Amino acid sequence: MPAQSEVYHLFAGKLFSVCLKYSRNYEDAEDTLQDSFLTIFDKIKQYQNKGSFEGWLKRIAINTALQKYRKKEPLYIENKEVENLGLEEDNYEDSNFNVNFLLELIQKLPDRYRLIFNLFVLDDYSHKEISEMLKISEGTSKSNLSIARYILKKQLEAHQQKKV
Amino acid sequence: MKEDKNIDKLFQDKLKAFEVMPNEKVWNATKAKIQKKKRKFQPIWWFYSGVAAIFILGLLLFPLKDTNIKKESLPENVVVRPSREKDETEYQKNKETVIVKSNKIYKKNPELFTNSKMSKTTETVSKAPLLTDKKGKNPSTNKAIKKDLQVDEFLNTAISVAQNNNTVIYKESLEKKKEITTKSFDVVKKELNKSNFKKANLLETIAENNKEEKEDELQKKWSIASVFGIIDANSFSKTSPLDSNLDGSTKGNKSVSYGVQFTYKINNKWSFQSGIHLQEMQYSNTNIAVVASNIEASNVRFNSGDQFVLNSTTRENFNVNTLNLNTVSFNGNMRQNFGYIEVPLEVKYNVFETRKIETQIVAGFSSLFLNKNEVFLNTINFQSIGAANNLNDLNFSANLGIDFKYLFNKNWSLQLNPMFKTQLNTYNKNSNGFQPYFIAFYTGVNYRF
Repeated sequence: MPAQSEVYHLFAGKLFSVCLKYSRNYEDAEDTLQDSFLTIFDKIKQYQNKGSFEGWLKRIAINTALQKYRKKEPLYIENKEVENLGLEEDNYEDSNFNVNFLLELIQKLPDRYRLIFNLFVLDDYSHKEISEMLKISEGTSKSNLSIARYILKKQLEAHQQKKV
Repeated sequence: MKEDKNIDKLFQDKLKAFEVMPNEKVWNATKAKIQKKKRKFQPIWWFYSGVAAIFILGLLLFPLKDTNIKKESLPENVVVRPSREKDETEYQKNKETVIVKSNKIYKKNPELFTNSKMSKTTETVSKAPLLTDKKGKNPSTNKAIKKDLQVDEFLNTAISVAQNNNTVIYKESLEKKKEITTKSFDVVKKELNKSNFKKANLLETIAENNKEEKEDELQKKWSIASVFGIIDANSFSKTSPLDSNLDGSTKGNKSVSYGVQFTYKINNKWSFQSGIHLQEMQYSNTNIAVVASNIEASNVRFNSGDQFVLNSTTRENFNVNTLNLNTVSFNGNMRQNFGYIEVPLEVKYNVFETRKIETQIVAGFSSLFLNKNEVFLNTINFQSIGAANNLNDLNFSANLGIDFKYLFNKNWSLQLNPMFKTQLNTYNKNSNGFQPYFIAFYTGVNYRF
């Protein structure tokens, strides 16, 4: 157990942040983290020193989250026209948004939108890769991402207005 | 577009590098699950080790115990009268001759008495090798016995015991009886006349001869065989343990097993058998549509890191339309090899035995330690090598079969051994109901010692 404990405590912080971003809430994230580590310890012999260990761990955490939510359809209508949603060009750079608030916004996104937003924006996967991972078309991936951004924007605006 | 970048940047800045430590209870729960998983194996393993330990311990103790039993049972068999009643031809004649001659010698030389006592001592030794020559080393008793006991009685006992030893062997083997009785008593007749000491030595020799013969029979308990077998792998269902979409297309191939086998004979009917074998099993699938995937889809981990969904194009509910753009091949084939170090622990029961042929029923189980795990995926465009990710490192098989032996001589024999073995816990997950079994034909040369 000491070896496992060491691996866990070294990487739990990084992987838990991944789980938090990909999950619906804190409890789900804890579950996902636990499942991820079970998979990691189960397959640790299969890690072949190709690429970084951390990258390998992260992929397992992402895959665990994907497996959990992939099958659940988003509640929103998929092919909603989002090209001309007519948002104002706000600049968020100066805004001092709290990390927890942003995380909460992501967690509140419908499952598929959340996964796609995370994969594309935060983990640099391409639409092609996302389409394969989620077994959807590239077009769906793109439109879902737009919807995700749209929802986030709306929420941010609402929050800013409250502040003002 | 710029708007998109702004919002992406906001989240990236804040969330890309953020780290948060989970509550320690998550680690405790994870730890508990890992330990539970590990513990699942232990009871079976400990039970098995226990059986093996008892078996080995038994083997170490058994030979000693066995000789003791023989030693005790011998005196009960010292029944000369019944054999006389049955009028066992040469036996009696020989015996009487010896008695008569012994009597004569005694009359001439009273010191024979001592010798007859010595001969009796020798018999005791022959019956109980563990008791050694304690009595013989104590000549002080001889004088007293000289006066009180009757010669005939002593000689009778002496000879009848010697004879009885022969009778035991007679029961065991007709040939041996003739050989030994004639030989030993011929020698007795000749030698008796010479001197008392020689006579004593004679009886000793007889006893020793008998002892040796007996020990021969007793000690041939072990046998060792080099074994080679052809395995025909099969499964109770036609599903595939590698991908549920390969339903119906899995075929077992022929492979080989070889190793060393040793047997310990408990008695005429029962024996124990163990050994060590290298065993390989092979299954194959053909007509596979291979679809590249980025998530773990099949139970194969390819060395290249690629993931594939494997679809059997021959299965009933296969639909071409379900395949997407990532289909790499429509006509791939796949071969799965997995090998084990097999350690069987089996019981054999003798059902039919002649001088040349032995037939035994074999039943037991084997521990299988995974030592080979390969999957080869071949398509026109590429070849990918990997391994199944759902095979247990240790599993067991239940074994049943028949063992035929043809005996060339006392030591060497040829064996043919068809076995049915079904594996019990081959997979740790997602085996799609696949349960392997195989029929194997083992053959080998057996040496008994």
